[in-house]
Amino acid sequence: MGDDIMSYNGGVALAMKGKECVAIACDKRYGVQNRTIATNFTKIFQYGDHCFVALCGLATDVQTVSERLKFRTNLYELREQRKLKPIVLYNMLTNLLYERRFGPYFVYALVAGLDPKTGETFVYDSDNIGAISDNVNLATVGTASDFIFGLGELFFKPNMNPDELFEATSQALLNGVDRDSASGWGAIVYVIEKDKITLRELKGRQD
Amino acid sequence: MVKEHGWYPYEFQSGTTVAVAGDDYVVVASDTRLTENYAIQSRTHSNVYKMHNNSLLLSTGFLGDVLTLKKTLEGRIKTYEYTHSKPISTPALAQMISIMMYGRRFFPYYTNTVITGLDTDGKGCVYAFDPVGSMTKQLYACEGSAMPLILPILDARILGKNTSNPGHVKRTKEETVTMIKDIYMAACERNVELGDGVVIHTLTKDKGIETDVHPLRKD
Repeated sequence: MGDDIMSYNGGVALAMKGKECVAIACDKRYGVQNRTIATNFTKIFQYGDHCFVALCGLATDVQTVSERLKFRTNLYELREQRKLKPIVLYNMLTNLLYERRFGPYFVYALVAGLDPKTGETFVYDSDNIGAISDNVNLATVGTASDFIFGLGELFFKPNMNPDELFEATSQALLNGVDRDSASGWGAIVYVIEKDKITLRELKGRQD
Repeated sequence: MVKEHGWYPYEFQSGTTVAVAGDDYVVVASDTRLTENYAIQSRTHSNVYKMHNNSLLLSTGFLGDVLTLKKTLEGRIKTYEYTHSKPISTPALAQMISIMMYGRRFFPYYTNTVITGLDTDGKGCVYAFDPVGSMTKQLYACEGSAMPLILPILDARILGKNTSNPGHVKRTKEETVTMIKDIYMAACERNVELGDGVVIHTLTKDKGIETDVHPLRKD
Protein backbone atom coordinates (compact mmCIF):
# COMPACT_ATOMS: atom_id res chain seq x y z
CA MET A 1 0.00 0.00 0.00
CA GLY A 2 2.13 2.90 1.20
CA ASP A 3 1.81 6.21 -0.65
CA ASP A 4 0.89 4.79 -4.04
CA ILE A 5 -2.05 6.74 -5.47
CA MET A 6 -3.12 3.78 -7.60
CA SER A 7 -3.83 1.70 -4.49
CA TYR A 8 -5.12 4.52 -2.26
CA ASN A 9 -8.80 3.51 -2.65
CA GLY A 10 -8.39 -0.13 -3.70
CA GLY A 11 -10.53 -2.09 -6.12
CA VAL A 12 -10.11 -4.41 -9.06
CA ALA A 13 -11.78 -5.38 -12.34
CA LEU A 14 -11.53 -8.27 -14.75
CA ALA A 15 -12.76 -8.99 -18.29
CA MET A 16 -12.76 -12.29 -20.16
CA LYS A 17 -13.84 -13.49 -23.59
CA GLY A 18 -16.07 -16.44 -24.48
CA LYS A 19 -17.72 -17.65 -27.67
CA GLU A 20 -19.99 -14.83 -28.83
CA CYS A 21 -20.06 -13.54 -25.25
CA VAL A 22 -17.86 -11.46 -23.03
CA ALA A 23 -17.79 -10.96 -19.25
CA ILE A 24 -16.70 -7.96 -17.23
CA ALA A 25 -16.60 -7.95 -13.44
CA CYS A 26 -15.46 -5.77 -10.56
CA ASP A 27 -15.42 -5.72 -6.76
CA LYS A 28 -17.49 -3.32 -4.64
CA ARG A 29 -15.05 -1.95 -2.07
CA TYR A 30 -14.32 1.74 -1.69
CA GLY A 31 -11.72 2.47 0.96
CA VAL A 32 -9.13 4.96 2.08
CA GLN A 33 -5.96 2.97 2.58
CA ASN A 34 -6.79 0.35 5.24
CA ARG A 35 -10.20 1.76 6.17
CA THR A 36 -13.26 0.59 4.25
CA ILE A 37 -15.70 3.45 3.62
CA ALA A 38 -18.35 1.84 1.40
CA THR A 39 -19.14 -1.60 0.06
CA ASN A 40 -21.33 -0.64 -2.89
CA PHE A 41 -18.80 1.15 -5.07
CA THR A 42 -18.93 -0.53 -8.46
CA LYS A 43 -16.43 0.43 -11.14
CA ILE A 44 -18.18 -0.71 -14.33
CA PHE A 45 -19.96 1.78 -16.58
CA GLN A 46 -22.16 1.08 -19.59
CA TYR A 47 -21.86 3.17 -22.74
CA GLY A 48 -24.33 2.07 -25.39
CA ASP A 49 -25.96 -1.33 -25.73
CA HIS A 50 -22.97 -3.69 -25.80
CA CYS A 51 -20.09 -1.52 -24.56
CA PHE A 52 -18.72 -1.52 -21.02
CA VAL A 53 -15.80 0.19 -19.32
CA ALA A 54 -14.25 -0.67 -15.96
CA LEU A 55 -12.06 1.94 -14.26
CA CYS A 56 -9.77 1.16 -11.31
CA GLY A 57 -7.51 3.40 -9.32
CA LEU A 58 -8.15 6.70 -7.57
CA ALA A 59 -11.91 6.84 -6.93
CA THR A 60 -12.28 10.55 -7.70
CA ASP A 61 -10.65 9.99 -11.10
CA VAL A 62 -12.80 6.91 -11.71
CA GLN A 63 -15.85 9.16 -11.37
CA THR A 64 -14.37 12.03 -13.38
CA VAL A 65 -13.20 9.84 -16.27
CA SER A 66 -16.48 7.91 -16.37
CA GLU A 67 -18.48 11.18 -16.52
CA ARG A 68 -16.23 12.79 -19.13
CA LEU A 69 -16.42 9.65 -21.23
CA LYS A 70 -20.22 9.70 -20.91
CA PHE A 71 -20.20 13.29 -22.16
CA ARG A 72 -18.04 12.43 -25.17
CA THR A 73 -19.92 9.25 -26.11
CA ASN A 74 -23.24 11.13 -25.94
CA LEU A 75 -21.86 13.83 -28.23
CA TYR A 76 -20.51 11.16 -30.59
CA GLU A 77 -23.89 9.45 -30.92
CA LEU A 78 -25.66 12.79 -31.48
CA ARG A 79 -23.17 14.10 -34.01
CA GLU A 80 -22.58 10.85 -35.92
CA GLN A 81 -26.15 9.50 -35.62
CA ARG A 82 -24.94 5.94 -35.01
CA LYS A 83 -24.33 3.55 -32.14
CA LEU A 84 -21.02 3.36 -30.38
CA LYS A 85 -18.78 0.38 -31.23
CA PRO A 86 -16.37 -1.09 -28.66
CA ILE A 87 -13.29 -0.07 -30.67
CA VAL A 88 -14.59 3.49 -31.00
CA LEU A 89 -15.24 3.65 -27.27
CA TYR A 90 -11.75 2.32 -26.60
CA ASN A 91 -10.15 4.90 -28.88
CA MET A 92 -12.16 7.70 -27.24
CA LEU A 93 -11.11 6.54 -23.80
CA THR A 94 -7.40 6.22 -24.56
CA ASN A 95 -7.53 9.58 -26.31
CA LEU A 96 -9.16 11.15 -23.27
CA LEU A 97 -6.49 9.66 -21.01
CA TYR A 98 -3.60 10.72 -23.26
CA GLU A 99 -4.82 14.34 -23.25
CA ARG A 100 -3.62 14.35 -19.64
CA ARG A 101 -0.24 12.80 -20.54
CA PHE A 102 1.72 15.06 -18.18
CA GLY A 103 -0.79 15.28 -15.35
CA PRO A 104 -2.59 11.98 -15.70
CA TYR A 105 -5.79 10.59 -14.26
CA PHE A 106 -4.81 7.84 -11.84
CA VAL A 107 -6.97 5.13 -13.39
CA TYR A 108 -6.35 1.93 -15.28
CA ALA A 109 -9.13 0.96 -17.67
CA LEU A 110 -10.75 -2.08 -19.24
CA VAL A 111 -13.10 -2.05 -22.20
CA ALA A 112 -15.34 -5.02 -22.92
CA GLY A 113 -17.82 -5.20 -25.76
CA LEU A 114 -19.56 -7.22 -28.41
CA ASP A 115 -20.72 -6.71 -31.96
CA PRO A 116 -24.43 -7.69 -31.77
CA LYS A 117 -24.55 -8.65 -35.46
CA THR A 118 -21.43 -10.79 -35.86
CA GLY A 119 -20.92 -11.81 -32.23
CA GLU A 120 -17.32 -10.65 -32.40
CA THR A 121 -15.92 -9.97 -28.91
CA PHE A 122 -13.65 -7.18 -27.71
CA VAL A 123 -11.56 -6.92 -24.56
CA TYR A 124 -8.98 -4.16 -24.23
CA ASP A 125 -7.01 -2.68 -21.37
CA SER A 126 -5.15 0.55 -20.89
CA ASP A 127 -2.78 2.19 -18.44
CA ASN A 128 -3.42 5.62 -16.91
CA ILE A 129 -1.97 7.54 -19.89
CA GLY A 130 -3.92 5.68 -22.56
CA ALA A 131 -1.52 3.08 -23.94
CA ILE A 132 -3.49 0.95 -26.37
CA SER A 133 -3.60 -2.85 -26.16
CA ASP A 134 -4.42 -5.68 -28.53
CA ASN A 135 -7.86 -7.28 -28.47
CA VAL A 136 -7.00 -9.80 -25.72
CA ASN A 137 -8.68 -12.86 -24.19
CA LEU A 138 -8.20 -11.83 -20.61
CA ALA A 139 -7.45 -8.52 -18.92
CA THR A 140 -7.42 -7.35 -15.32
CA VAL A 141 -6.58 -4.05 -13.65
CA GLY A 142 -6.52 -2.89 -10.03
CA THR A 143 -4.92 -3.76 -6.71
CA ALA A 144 -5.59 -7.51 -6.95
CA SER A 145 -4.63 -7.86 -10.61
CA ASP A 146 -1.55 -10.01 -9.92
CA PHE A 147 -3.66 -12.41 -7.85
CA ILE A 148 -6.29 -12.56 -10.58
CA PHE A 149 -3.88 -13.00 -13.51
CA GLY A 150 -2.72 -16.40 -12.24
CA LEU A 151 -6.29 -17.62 -11.70
CA GLY A 152 -7.53 -16.11 -14.95
CA GLU A 153 -4.77 -17.77 -16.94
CA LEU A 154 -5.72 -21.13 -15.38
CA PHE A 155 -9.52 -20.78 -15.71
CA PHE A 156 -9.60 -19.26 -19.20
CA LYS A 157 -10.44 -21.65 -22.04
CA PRO A 158 -11.14 -20.58 -25.64
CA ASN A 159 -14.80 -20.55 -26.79
CA MET A 160 -16.56 -20.79 -23.43
CA ASN A 161 -20.37 -20.55 -23.42
CA PRO A 162 -21.98 -17.78 -21.30
CA ASP A 163 -22.40 -20.01 -18.22
CA GLU A 164 -18.83 -21.28 -18.32
CA LEU A 165 -17.59 -17.75 -18.88
CA PHE A 166 -19.55 -16.47 -15.87
CA GLU A 167 -18.16 -19.25 -13.69
CA ALA A 168 -14.55 -18.70 -14.80
CA THR A 169 -14.77 -14.92 -14.35
CA SER A 170 -16.44 -15.16 -10.93
CA GLN A 171 -14.01 -17.77 -9.63
CA ALA A 172 -10.98 -15.78 -10.80
CA LEU A 173 -12.31 -12.57 -9.25
CA LEU A 174 -13.51 -13.99 -5.92
CA ASN A 175 -10.42 -16.09 -5.21
CA GLY A 176 -8.21 -13.20 -6.28
CA VAL A 177 -9.79 -10.53 -4.07
CA ASP A 178 -9.72 -12.87 -1.06
CA ARG A 179 -5.92 -12.50 -1.04
CA ASP A 180 -6.05 -8.71 -1.37
CA SER A 181 -6.95 -6.46 1.56
CA ALA A 182 -7.69 -3.43 -0.64
CA SER A 183 -10.45 -5.04 -2.71
CA GLY A 184 -13.39 -7.38 -2.19
CA TRP A 185 -16.67 -6.95 -0.27
CA GLY A 186 -18.70 -8.64 -2.98
CA ALA A 187 -18.61 -8.31 -6.72
CA ILE A 188 -20.75 -7.73 -9.80
CA VAL A 189 -20.44 -9.65 -13.06
CA TYR A 190 -21.88 -8.60 -16.42
CA VAL A 191 -22.18 -11.27 -19.10
CA ILE A 192 -22.74 -9.62 -22.49
CA GLU A 193 -24.38 -11.71 -25.22
CA LYS A 194 -25.86 -10.81 -28.62
CA ASP A 195 -29.47 -10.71 -27.42
CA LYS A 196 -29.11 -10.09 -23.69
CA ILE A 197 -26.97 -8.67 -20.93
CA THR A 198 -27.02 -10.41 -17.56
CA LEU A 199 -25.94 -8.68 -14.35
CA ARG A 200 -25.23 -10.90 -11.37
CA GLU A 201 -24.23 -9.80 -7.87
CA LEU A 202 -21.84 -12.01 -5.94
CA LYS A 203 -21.58 -11.91 -2.17
CA GLY A 204 -18.11 -13.38 -1.52
CA ARG A 205 -16.18 -12.87 1.70
CA GLN A 206 -17.24 -9.79 3.63
CA ASP A 207 -13.86 -8.88 5.13
CA MET B 1 24.25 16.59 -10.23
CA VAL B 2 25.46 14.61 -7.28
CA LYS B 3 24.91 10.87 -7.56
CA GLU B 4 24.52 9.11 -4.30
CA HIS B 5 26.59 5.98 -3.98
CA GLY B 6 25.53 3.16 -1.78
CA TRP B 7 26.32 -0.47 -1.26
CA TYR B 8 23.38 -2.79 -0.90
CA PRO B 9 24.21 -6.19 0.51
CA TYR B 10 21.25 -7.99 -1.09
CA GLU B 11 20.04 -9.00 -4.55
CA PHE B 12 16.73 -10.60 -5.37
CA GLN B 13 17.26 -13.57 -7.62
CA SER B 14 13.71 -14.82 -7.74
CA GLY B 15 12.53 -18.37 -8.09
CA THR B 16 9.09 -19.62 -7.18
CA THR B 17 8.44 -22.57 -4.90
CA VAL B 18 5.30 -24.50 -4.04
CA ALA B 19 4.85 -27.12 -1.31
CA VAL B 20 1.76 -29.22 -0.67
CA ALA B 21 1.38 -31.58 2.30
CA GLY B 22 -0.71 -34.75 1.94
CA ASP B 23 -1.73 -37.48 4.37
CA ASP B 24 1.25 -39.67 3.48
CA TYR B 25 3.27 -37.53 1.12
CA VAL B 26 4.70 -34.14 0.43
CA VAL B 27 4.95 -32.65 -3.05
CA VAL B 28 7.33 -29.74 -3.58
CA ALA B 29 8.12 -27.81 -6.73
CA SER B 30 10.44 -25.11 -7.92
CA ASP B 31 10.97 -23.40 -11.23
CA THR B 32 14.49 -23.53 -12.62
CA ARG B 33 15.03 -19.93 -13.67
CA LEU B 34 17.50 -17.77 -11.79
CA THR B 35 17.36 -14.04 -12.55
CA GLU B 36 18.99 -10.81 -11.52
CA ASN B 37 16.87 -7.84 -12.54
CA TYR B 38 15.83 -8.77 -16.10
CA ALA B 39 18.88 -10.94 -16.86
CA ILE B 40 18.64 -14.71 -16.75
CA GLN B 41 21.56 -16.11 -14.75
CA SER B 42 20.59 -19.77 -15.07
CA ARG B 43 17.88 -21.89 -16.68
CA THR B 44 18.65 -24.99 -14.62
CA HIS B 45 18.79 -23.77 -11.04
CA SER B 46 16.31 -25.47 -8.72
CA ASN B 47 15.45 -23.88 -5.37
CA VAL B 48 14.84 -27.25 -3.69
CA TYR B 49 17.62 -28.61 -1.49
CA LYS B 50 17.63 -32.14 -0.11
CA MET B 51 18.74 -32.15 3.50
CA HIS B 52 20.55 -35.02 5.20
CA ASN B 53 17.46 -36.25 7.07
CA ASN B 54 15.29 -36.45 3.90
CA SER B 55 13.64 -33.09 4.58
CA LEU B 56 13.36 -30.77 1.59
CA LEU B 57 14.40 -27.16 1.98
CA LEU B 58 12.81 -24.64 -0.41
CA SER B 59 14.47 -21.27 -0.36
CA THR B 60 14.21 -18.31 -2.69
CA GLY B 61 15.41 -14.73 -2.50
CA PHE B 62 19.10 -13.79 -2.38
CA LEU B 63 21.07 -16.84 -3.53
CA GLY B 64 24.10 -15.94 -1.40
CA ASP B 65 21.94 -16.10 1.73
CA VAL B 66 20.09 -19.19 0.49
CA LEU B 67 23.35 -21.09 0.09
CA THR B 68 24.75 -19.84 3.40
CA LEU B 69 21.55 -20.81 5.18
CA LYS B 70 21.68 -24.26 3.60
CA LYS B 71 25.39 -24.76 4.42
CA THR B 72 24.99 -23.64 8.03
CA LEU B 73 21.92 -25.83 8.38
CA GLU B 74 23.74 -28.91 7.05
CA GLY B 75 26.39 -28.38 9.73
CA ARG B 76 23.77 -27.97 12.46
CA ILE B 77 21.97 -31.14 11.31
CA LYS B 78 25.19 -33.19 11.60
CA THR B 79 25.96 -31.75 15.05
CA TYR B 80 22.41 -32.68 16.12
CA GLU B 81 22.87 -36.24 14.83
CA TYR B 82 26.21 -36.65 16.63
CA THR B 83 24.94 -35.31 19.95
CA HIS B 84 21.55 -37.07 19.94
CA SER B 85 22.48 -40.24 17.96
CA LYS B 86 19.36 -40.01 15.79
CA PRO B 87 18.30 -38.13 12.67
CA ILE B 88 16.54 -34.81 13.25
CA SER B 89 12.77 -34.81 12.63
CA THR B 90 11.30 -32.24 10.24
CA PRO B 91 9.36 -30.38 12.99
CA ALA B 92 12.57 -30.13 15.06
CA LEU B 93 14.46 -28.93 11.99
CA ALA B 94 11.83 -26.25 11.42
CA GLN B 95 12.30 -25.01 14.99
CA MET B 96 16.08 -24.99 14.44
CA ILE B 97 15.74 -22.89 11.26
CA SER B 98 13.46 -20.45 13.05
CA ILE B 99 16.05 -19.93 15.81
CA MET B 100 18.91 -19.63 13.31
CA MET B 101 17.05 -17.02 11.29
CA TYR B 102 16.00 -14.98 14.32
CA GLY B 103 19.66 -15.06 15.38
CA ARG B 104 20.24 -12.76 12.41
CA ARG B 105 17.37 -10.45 13.38
CA PHE B 106 19.34 -7.30 12.55
CA PHE B 107 21.10 -8.51 9.38
CA PRO B 108 18.63 -11.11 8.12
CA TYR B 109 19.06 -13.87 5.60
CA TYR B 110 17.13 -12.37 2.66
CA THR B 111 15.23 -15.55 1.94
CA ASN B 112 11.71 -16.88 1.76
CA THR B 113 12.14 -20.32 3.23
CA VAL B 114 9.91 -23.36 3.47
CA ILE B 115 10.91 -26.68 5.02
CA THR B 116 8.93 -29.80 4.21
CA GLY B 117 9.14 -33.45 5.11
CA LEU B 118 7.31 -36.26 6.81
CA ASP B 119 6.62 -36.11 10.53
CA THR B 120 7.19 -39.07 12.87
CA ASP B 121 3.84 -40.60 11.79
CA GLY B 122 4.77 -40.37 8.10
CA LYS B 123 2.32 -37.50 7.54
CA GLY B 124 3.35 -34.68 5.25
CA CYS B 125 4.25 -31.36 6.89
CA VAL B 126 5.09 -27.90 5.56
CA TYR B 127 6.60 -25.07 7.62
CA ALA B 128 6.97 -21.61 6.12
CA PHE B 129 9.17 -18.79 7.43
CA ASP B 130 9.54 -15.09 6.90
CA PRO B 131 13.10 -13.66 6.55
CA VAL B 132 13.49 -13.23 10.31
CA GLY B 133 12.29 -16.69 11.34
CA SER B 134 8.58 -16.32 12.10
CA MET B 135 7.24 -19.82 11.51
CA THR B 136 3.84 -21.32 10.68
CA LYS B 137 2.82 -24.89 9.97
CA GLN B 138 0.69 -24.94 6.83
CA LEU B 139 -1.20 -27.31 4.54
CA TYR B 140 0.48 -25.72 1.55
CA ALA B 141 2.88 -22.90 0.87
CA CYS B 142 4.02 -20.80 -2.04
CA GLU B 143 6.95 -18.39 -1.93
CA GLY B 144 8.94 -16.34 -4.39
CA SER B 145 8.33 -14.00 -7.27
CA ALA B 146 5.16 -15.59 -8.69
CA MET B 147 3.56 -16.04 -5.26
CA PRO B 148 0.71 -13.56 -5.97
CA LEU B 149 -0.24 -15.54 -9.08
CA ILE B 150 -0.09 -18.99 -7.50
CA LEU B 151 -1.31 -18.58 -3.92
CA PRO B 152 -4.99 -17.83 -4.74
CA ILE B 153 -5.01 -20.82 -7.12
CA LEU B 154 -3.92 -23.06 -4.25
CA ASP B 155 -6.63 -21.51 -2.04
CA ALA B 156 -9.23 -22.40 -4.64
CA ARG B 157 -7.92 -25.86 -5.47
CA ILE B 158 -6.79 -27.17 -2.08
CA LEU B 159 -9.22 -25.47 0.30
CA GLY B 160 -12.12 -25.35 -2.20
CA LYS B 161 -12.60 -21.62 -1.51
CA ASN B 162 -15.61 -19.92 -3.13
CA THR B 163 -17.31 -23.18 -4.07
CA SER B 164 -20.68 -24.50 -2.94
CA ASN B 165 -18.84 -27.13 -0.91
CA PRO B 166 -15.79 -25.50 0.70
CA GLY B 167 -13.24 -27.52 2.65
CA HIS B 168 -9.97 -29.38 2.29
CA VAL B 169 -9.89 -31.27 -1.03
CA LYS B 170 -7.93 -34.51 -0.58
CA ARG B 171 -5.73 -35.52 -3.52
CA THR B 172 -3.46 -38.42 -4.38
CA LYS B 173 0.17 -37.52 -4.93
CA GLU B 174 -0.23 -38.03 -8.70
CA GLU B 175 -3.18 -35.61 -8.78
CA THR B 176 -1.16 -33.08 -6.78
CA VAL B 177 1.77 -33.33 -9.22
CA THR B 178 -0.58 -32.73 -12.19
CA MET B 179 -2.19 -29.78 -10.41
CA ILE B 180 1.20 -28.18 -9.70
CA LYS B 181 2.31 -28.63 -13.33
CA ASP B 182 -0.86 -26.88 -14.55
CA ILE B 183 -0.36 -24.05 -12.06
CA TYR B 184 3.24 -23.44 -13.15
CA MET B 185 2.20 -23.45 -16.81
CA ALA B 186 -0.45 -20.81 -16.04
CA ALA B 187 1.86 -18.66 -13.90
CA CYS B 188 4.75 -18.65 -16.41
CA GLU B 189 2.45 -16.99 -18.95
CA ARG B 190 2.31 -13.87 -16.81
CA ASN B 191 5.50 -13.68 -14.75
CA VAL B 192 8.81 -12.89 -16.44
CA GLU B 193 10.83 -14.29 -13.54
CA LEU B 194 9.22 -17.71 -13.82
CA GLY B 195 10.05 -20.06 -16.67
CA ASP B 196 12.43 -22.56 -18.29
CA GLY B 197 11.31 -25.56 -16.29
CA VAL B 198 9.69 -26.88 -13.14
CA VAL B 199 11.14 -29.61 -10.93
CA ILE B 200 8.62 -31.54 -8.87
CA HIS B 201 9.75 -33.79 -6.02
CA THR B 202 7.40 -36.24 -4.33
CA LEU B 203 8.44 -37.46 -0.89
CA THR B 204 6.87 -40.61 0.57
CA LYS B 205 7.84 -42.93 3.41
CA ASP B 206 8.32 -46.07 1.23
CA LYS B 207 9.71 -44.60 -1.98
CA GLY B 208 11.73 -41.67 -0.67
CA ILE B 209 12.16 -38.79 -3.10
CA GLU B 210 10.89 -39.16 -6.69
CA THR B 211 11.69 -36.37 -9.12
CA ASP B 212 9.78 -35.16 -12.16
CA VAL B 213 11.02 -32.43 -14.50
CA HIS B 214 8.67 -30.55 -16.80
CA PRO B 215 9.72 -27.90 -19.36
CA LEU B 216 8.15 -24.42 -19.31
CA ARG B 217 8.34 -21.57 -21.82
CA LYS B 218 11.82 -20.13 -22.11
CA ASP B 219 11.09 -16.51 -23.09
